[in-house]
Amino acid sequence: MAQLPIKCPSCQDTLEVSELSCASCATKISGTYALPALMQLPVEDQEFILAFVITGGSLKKMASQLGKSYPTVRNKLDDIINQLNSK
Amino acid sequence: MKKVLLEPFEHYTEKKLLGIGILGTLIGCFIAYVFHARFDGVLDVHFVKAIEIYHPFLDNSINIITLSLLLFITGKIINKKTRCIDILNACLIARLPYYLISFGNINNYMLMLSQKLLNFDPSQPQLMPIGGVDLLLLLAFAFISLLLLIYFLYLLYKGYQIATNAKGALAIGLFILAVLIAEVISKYLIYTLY
Repeated sequence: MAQLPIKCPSCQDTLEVSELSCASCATKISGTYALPALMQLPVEDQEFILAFVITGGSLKKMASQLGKSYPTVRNKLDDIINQLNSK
Repeated sequence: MKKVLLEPFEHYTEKKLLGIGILGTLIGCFIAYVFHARFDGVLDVHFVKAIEIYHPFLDNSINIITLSLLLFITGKIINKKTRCIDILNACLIARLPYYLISFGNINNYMLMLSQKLLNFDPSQPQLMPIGGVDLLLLLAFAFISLLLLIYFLYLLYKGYQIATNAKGALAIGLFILAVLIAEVISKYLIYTLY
């Protein structure tokens, strides 16, 4: 499946949703909707958050699953939190 | 191999790093005793005529504790989540390659060369006390020692960076400051305590 673009290729500003469509009846909704904060993160960070939730918020479990050390995983989470706070 | 040599703190658990660090340090201390090497300061290594079995063990304990303490304090300034175990592991693992310098003094070779050079009178260059091969080996030893020192500091910074999530000039400045203060304190302790 194609990766959802979140930055404008022309000016690098954050993209917004302008059209939604129903796959079964082809109904289309037009408007201007901001992307949720989590959707504005890079795919890698979104996958990290998903894994974090699935492991019940255990960084130790995540570290063991990802084959990384505990501080490496904690730093990644801190960096994502900083990114979300800056949005 | 890259994981082991360049990114150990990123990939291995704290228990594994602690185990390897302690075991490696004990082996490194024993090698230092066998080859008469004194690690008399965080960044120092000297070869001596006489050595007691406890010298390298106490030297390195002081070096590791001083360095860990200083880096932990600066680490807490950078990031309150810094854990003592991660800093200790960085100090233990980073020092392991540095212990290889001891092998330069097999049969007291480096000690003998350095003593000969110390007695050399530069006003009489014709009385050069060491030969060409010795000079080449001395230069090779100096070069390898420098590489091991750089590798030690590289690993230490990598470990510190991961333990503290350090970024930017302040973190680098605090790291350098911590290492230099640890060097002064460890040297002072080693020469005043025994």
